[in-house]
Amino acid sequence: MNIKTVITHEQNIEKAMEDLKKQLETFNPKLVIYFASSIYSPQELSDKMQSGFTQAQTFGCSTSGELISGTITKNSIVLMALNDKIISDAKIEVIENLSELDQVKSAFVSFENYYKAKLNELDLDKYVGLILIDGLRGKEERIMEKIGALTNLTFVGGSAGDDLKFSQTYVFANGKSYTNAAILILLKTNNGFDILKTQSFNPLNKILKVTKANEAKREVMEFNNNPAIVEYAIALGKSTEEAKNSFMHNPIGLMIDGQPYVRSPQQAKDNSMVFYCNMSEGMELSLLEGTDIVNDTKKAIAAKELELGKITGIINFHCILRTLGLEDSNKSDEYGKIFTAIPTIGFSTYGEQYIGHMNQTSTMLLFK
Amino acid sequence: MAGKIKMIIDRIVEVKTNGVTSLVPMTKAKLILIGINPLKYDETTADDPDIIDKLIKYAKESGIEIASK
Repeated sequence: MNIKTVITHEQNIEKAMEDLKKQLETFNPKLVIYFASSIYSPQELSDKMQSGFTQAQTFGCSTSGELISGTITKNSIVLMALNDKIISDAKIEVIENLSELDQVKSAFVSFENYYKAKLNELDLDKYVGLILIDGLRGKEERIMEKIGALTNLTFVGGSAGDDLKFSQTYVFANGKSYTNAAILILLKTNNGFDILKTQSFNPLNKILKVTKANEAKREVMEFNNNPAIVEYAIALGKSTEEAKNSFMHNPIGLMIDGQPYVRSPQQAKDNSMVFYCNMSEGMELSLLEGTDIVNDTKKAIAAKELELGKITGIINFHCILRTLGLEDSNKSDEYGKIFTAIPTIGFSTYGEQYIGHMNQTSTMLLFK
Repeated sequence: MAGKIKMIIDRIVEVKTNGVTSLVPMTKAKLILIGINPLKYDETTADDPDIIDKLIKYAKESGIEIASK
């Protein structure tokens, strides 16, 4: 076995580390990825994780719930250890201030220096980037835009959570913890990778064009030249008050190649709508209708297994809104079981990243 | 004046993909996610200075030079 996943619910960090290491037995990781509930002290956890795995590079983030092969859980640490049969190399960079976009460029210069190659010379099928980012600063779009401008390499990841306290989220790297930060990791895989982005929505034949927006605040004041919440309600065929209860089941999506890049409404603010993603004026979005998360995810994983032959491991960036939806429909266990046979870890995010920033997906890095 | 937006989009896609056709959908998706849908623009589209500024900024971040004319 080249990928091993373990979990602990021990709340004392010393005991948690003992538990995790005991479960890993003699496994010799090159890379350790971990996702931890906000009940753990971020700096102590990051420090102990690195000192506990001195031979490996370690990184992770705080969560709003964790996921491991077979189970969705809370108040735990989940950990994936990968050996050198899966990962031949990894370079971690920290963006310590999300307002300073030049740090993204510096990180990419560092990647080039480390791998001794220009970014556009790296094998797009072997090198993959991970991003873990503070989930409360609203900076994901600009960081992803910058990454997308700088490289054709795939970057995938999630926004850190804090168990729905909406107070402070953290990312961890090589023994330190950071807030208002992102970590970028450029992995060189031995056997390649794939990405699976799945969401459970169908587009309805209703288009909402953004005609007035404040991108920085992720606020839409007008759709189709009318107050946003009024136009959203008209599209749904409901009153504005009823429409406010439909946000989770009926978000809107930017359709790209037939797939929605979901923008989830967070709240109505007077006649405006605030989202978990930004939108630009002129964007045309489809009203969406929710479908079955468990069935859709099962089908998506089965199709990828058929396509790839075998999936060796999965890192699942799973939107907190999906987690809440699964809890509401009492289907969390059923969702967790989809991943029983595949070494998997993941967490409930405050947003997912792939090409850009989005909501209400499970966006997964699949190791071949 | 018309057609400059399509010209810049084509230039960004050409340089970023460097002839690798499998990269075209992702490159266009990145533009859609910043609010510029390549399918909406052709040679007859009026030159909107806000869109042109946004594209030139993106091109610059991508290390792509756009001719001024």
